[in-house]
Amino acid sequence: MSTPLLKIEGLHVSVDEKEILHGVDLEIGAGQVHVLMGPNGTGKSTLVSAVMGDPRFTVTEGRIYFKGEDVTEAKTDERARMGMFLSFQAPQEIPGITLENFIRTACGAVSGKQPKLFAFRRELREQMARLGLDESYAERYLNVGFSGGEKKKSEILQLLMMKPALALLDETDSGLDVDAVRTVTEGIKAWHNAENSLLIITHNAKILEGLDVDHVHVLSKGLIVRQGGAELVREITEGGFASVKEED
Amino acid sequence: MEKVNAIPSLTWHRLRVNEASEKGAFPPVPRRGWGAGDVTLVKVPRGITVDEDEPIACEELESGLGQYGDRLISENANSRWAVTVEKKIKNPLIIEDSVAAGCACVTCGSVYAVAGSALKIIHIFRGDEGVSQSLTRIYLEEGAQVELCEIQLLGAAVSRHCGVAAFGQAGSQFRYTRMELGGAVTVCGAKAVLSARSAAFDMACAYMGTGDEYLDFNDVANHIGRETGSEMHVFGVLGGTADKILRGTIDFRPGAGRSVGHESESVILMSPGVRNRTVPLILCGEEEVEGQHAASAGRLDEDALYYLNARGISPEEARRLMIEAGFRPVADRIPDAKLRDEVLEELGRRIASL
Repeated sequence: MSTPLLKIEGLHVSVDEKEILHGVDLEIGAGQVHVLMGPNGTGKSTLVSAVMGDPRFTVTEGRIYFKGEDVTEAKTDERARMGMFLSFQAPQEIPGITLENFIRTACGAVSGKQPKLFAFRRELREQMARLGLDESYAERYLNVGFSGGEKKKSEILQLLMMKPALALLDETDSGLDVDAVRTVTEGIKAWHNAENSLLIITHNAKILEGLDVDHVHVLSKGLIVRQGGAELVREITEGGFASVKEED
Repeated sequence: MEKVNAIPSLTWHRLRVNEASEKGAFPPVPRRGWGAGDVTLVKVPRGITVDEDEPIACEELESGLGQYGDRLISENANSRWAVTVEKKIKNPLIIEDSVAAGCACVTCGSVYAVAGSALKIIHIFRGDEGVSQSLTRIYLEEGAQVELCEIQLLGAAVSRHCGVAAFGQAGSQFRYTRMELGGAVTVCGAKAVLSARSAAFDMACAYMGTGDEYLDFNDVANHIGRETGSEMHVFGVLGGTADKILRGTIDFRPGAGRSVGHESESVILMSPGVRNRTVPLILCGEEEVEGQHAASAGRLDEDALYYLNARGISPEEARRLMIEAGFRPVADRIPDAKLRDEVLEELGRRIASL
């Protein structure tokens, strides 16, 4: 059996000495689409933040492996350069750095060489058009004055340009109207292939339309309490989390 | 000691912020004067008149440095320039002051902007050692627009004093950009008098203080006319044991009804050894006005740094980007692309040494 792209073993995570995750196990293979669901405040964002190496979260027990390497102690920028990407629930606004410069710098950081300007610009404009972002946004400061939907599209634009091996999407669809969700899904589909993988946190099945979901995990009180296939999304959408019985 | 950069309304003496400290004193003028100055009008756009003498209307204008500082520069200037603008000019007037070891460049400049005219001025200050002093006085008739952009790229052994005075009639707009990147001593004071209805002052400044540099700023917006507006926003980075005071005053005089003034300062502190003092002041002699001030000082935003790290950018590079980002909105106001690129390149070098 091939090495999973991401493997999480018995992960315990604390913030301010309060344990949020109490032993999470998860494996994501190359090309797979995984969905993480669960009621608010159960630790979904904590899990992806810990995987990304957010310094506010402390891994007290367990290991995280990425591409077969133990990255539990790796810095966030190292994980990103290895091919991890986190789409933030609340992307930062940074005045003074244009969207174009930011993405070009990020692409240079993960690939190890600065992209050639004209080819980069051409691709950026193409991907912006795909996401319905006016090209004038390339010259605007990063996320400054962007609407909630535009910020999320900016995250997907970064995903499309940086081409990571693993994307962790933390409620990328929250605050988006129906059309914007569809556009974002199209962007994700354009990026997704047999080599790269997705872990999507969502409360809404709309973003999953057109994606072949391989596994669904339900997180409750810091533990994965149920796992299954795409049918689990339908079950939760129709009956809520109460309808999903915990596995023994 | 005569006062330099004195705050318009005194506060407790024990705070030692009412005027520049001894570190900010003017260097003594040599008995034979400063000698020849090195000022070049690098680019003079067509359509402006270079005058022999300073327009009378400019002579009495007072900068933020105060009367004493203005007089010292004016009386001891070793180079002078004066221009009159009578129509809208597209290309900027570019002036360059250069200093060197044992030399001083003491410049007295003035601009008379006739009603409805427009002019952009870029004033660059270069050199590693010596004395750099400048006083720029600007008179704006009704509806005139003047943009002054001062870029200081001096070395760490230069003493610098810079005064700017502007007087705006109705509907005039004075846009002022100041970027201070070096100098052992940097003392700057800008004062804009918004004398009549709808006159506006828009100031954006950025500074960097490293080593044991002393930086002292005193910027004033005097609202006299109705519906006048001022925006004064400053960004700074301090490292080493740099010592900085910023005084920002919005003064709403009686009669300045429905006027609006905002001021802010954001400072990044790179070292525990820095001394950072900010004195925002809003004086109200009129009831129906809106005045706001905001100040923040601290380390780089950890959340923003994490966001950059999550895109593969190393902590060192993220730190450099964040500091550069603070300067960028100010640098983006430089109305000359080539010069803007040069400033950003120089900025990158200086950030690396922080």
